[in-house]
Amino acid sequence: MEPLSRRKLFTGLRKALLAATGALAAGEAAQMMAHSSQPEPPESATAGKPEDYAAPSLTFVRDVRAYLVRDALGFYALDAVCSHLGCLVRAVGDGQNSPLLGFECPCHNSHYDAQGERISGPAPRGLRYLAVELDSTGNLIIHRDRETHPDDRLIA
Amino acid sequence: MRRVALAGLWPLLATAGLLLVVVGAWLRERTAPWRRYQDDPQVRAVVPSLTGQRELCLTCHWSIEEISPSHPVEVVGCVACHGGVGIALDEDLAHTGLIRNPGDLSVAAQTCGGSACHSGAPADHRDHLPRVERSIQATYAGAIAYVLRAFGVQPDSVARFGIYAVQSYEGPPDNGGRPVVEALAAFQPAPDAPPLVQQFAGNCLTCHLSAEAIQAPYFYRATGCSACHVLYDNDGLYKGGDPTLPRDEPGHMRRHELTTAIPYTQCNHCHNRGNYELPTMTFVPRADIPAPDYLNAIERRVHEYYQPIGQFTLCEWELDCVDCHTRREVMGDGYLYSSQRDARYTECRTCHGTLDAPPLSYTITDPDDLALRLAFLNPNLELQVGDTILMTDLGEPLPHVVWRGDRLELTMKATGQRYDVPLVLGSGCQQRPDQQESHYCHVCHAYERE
Repeated sequence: MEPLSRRKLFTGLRKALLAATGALAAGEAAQMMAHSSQPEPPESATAGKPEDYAAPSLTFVRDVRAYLVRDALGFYALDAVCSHLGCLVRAVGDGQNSPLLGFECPCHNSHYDAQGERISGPAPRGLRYLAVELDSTGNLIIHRDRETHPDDRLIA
Repeated sequence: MRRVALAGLWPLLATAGLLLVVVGAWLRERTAPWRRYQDDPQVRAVVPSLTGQRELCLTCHWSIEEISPSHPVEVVGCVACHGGVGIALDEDLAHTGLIRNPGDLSVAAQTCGGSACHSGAPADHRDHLPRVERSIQATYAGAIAYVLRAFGVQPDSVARFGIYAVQSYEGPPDNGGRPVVEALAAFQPAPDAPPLVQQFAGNCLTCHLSAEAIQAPYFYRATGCSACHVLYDNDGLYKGGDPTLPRDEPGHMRRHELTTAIPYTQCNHCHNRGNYELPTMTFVPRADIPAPDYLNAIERRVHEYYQPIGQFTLCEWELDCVDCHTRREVMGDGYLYSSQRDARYTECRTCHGTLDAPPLSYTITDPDDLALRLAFLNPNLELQVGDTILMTDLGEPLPHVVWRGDRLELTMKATGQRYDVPLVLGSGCQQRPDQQESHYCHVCHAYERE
């Protein structure tokens, strides 16, 4: 066995120390990155297959903070973020077992009708209609960054 | 040869030094003070929708109470009210610029009043802050005026001075012709003012919303908006869940919560706690609190509620202060007044009516009615469109006094306890119709504290 030269010993030690330093720093950085955090709503998110939803139905899609509604005409999405301060509004009725009567904000009692129009409270306007599409794999996609017309429906 | 060997060592030494630095940083992070507040230490972040700025405050204050359902942390966050450096984990840095009491009137324009939340238009009933700043609880104008008159500095009791200079503003609703003043100057007695006035200025300007509380049991409270809306126990001890706040240090709120369900004990942190002694112009705290142990609950309440000089009707010691005194009375209505009497909106007849007529009422038809907003903010009240509720002479709603069929029902704002309100109309009351003010009612209905 060839004797270990001083140069090789130092080089090996240096590499080992560098690896230890990198591992320690990377571990700490990973822990920092993985800390508990309230995520920002993404610009868009998938909501499963159209056949997962009964007609009529109302489903809260937490990832995009929106209500996905399926009625006799198709799918549409209503922003669940109150136009007053940004609290999440609650649906009154589930649209399936009980009729959807509207939405109410638990923070300052703004009320919206079933179409998202403002009825009362400090909210300055109604709820936004968000675009709903199908992706290439047939999944529903809700886009927070794209507002659409209340009459628009995704037929799927 | 030796120089060559040392030259080969330098990269190794540099790497070892780097490792030492990283290990040092790692150890510092592992032993960071914020970790002592959690069993499973982790950085906790929120991005409140109001600001969109990441905040790490909950890393240490992770189990603090949410301040109120109307101010959820994921919407308002911490920094919008408390300032500080939200992204810092170091205690000193995070608390740089910290506002311990966002309700203090010196900062309320940026906190409670920020973004027009509570400093908006009178027509929208969002002018809380400008009203409070002009209320007699904040200006102390009435007490100052009476003292100046008593010692001959001014000829009448019309207020000319307040704790700070303030002017009236455009927009408050009709006040029914109550006498008002247009402006107050900051009270600063002239050098040649009577000595007792000088002493009054030095010793007695401690009973207003900007004054720090006496740090003693029964007196603990906050200042400004928080003086009423953040409850303190008489022992001044914190009983909430924030691991950073000591439980055995008096001078803290009961819990980190805002409320409109304000019990009489909160008002009593300022009111009925003692008297100013005129010969020396000093405040003398009551020596008879706490109440003796042999008293029952209601007797204790009367004892600690009132000083032994007054007459009070049953409802004045069964209900809480806020069950009679309306928001326009307590928080101000936007006008500057010379006395509490001038700013009064409620009388006995407001709830009990008169010999000739039931109390004034109206049926809620507008879903934006102020009464619904007020009821929503109080967990003990339930009100809806179609309910008929009482109102003051000037139309201010009393959302807690509702007609239920032929019964008039009052729900206590602080406890939810319900009472049937007796009416004068149809009763055996023999009061003269032209004598309907409260002091006439006290002649027959008062309970006198001895």
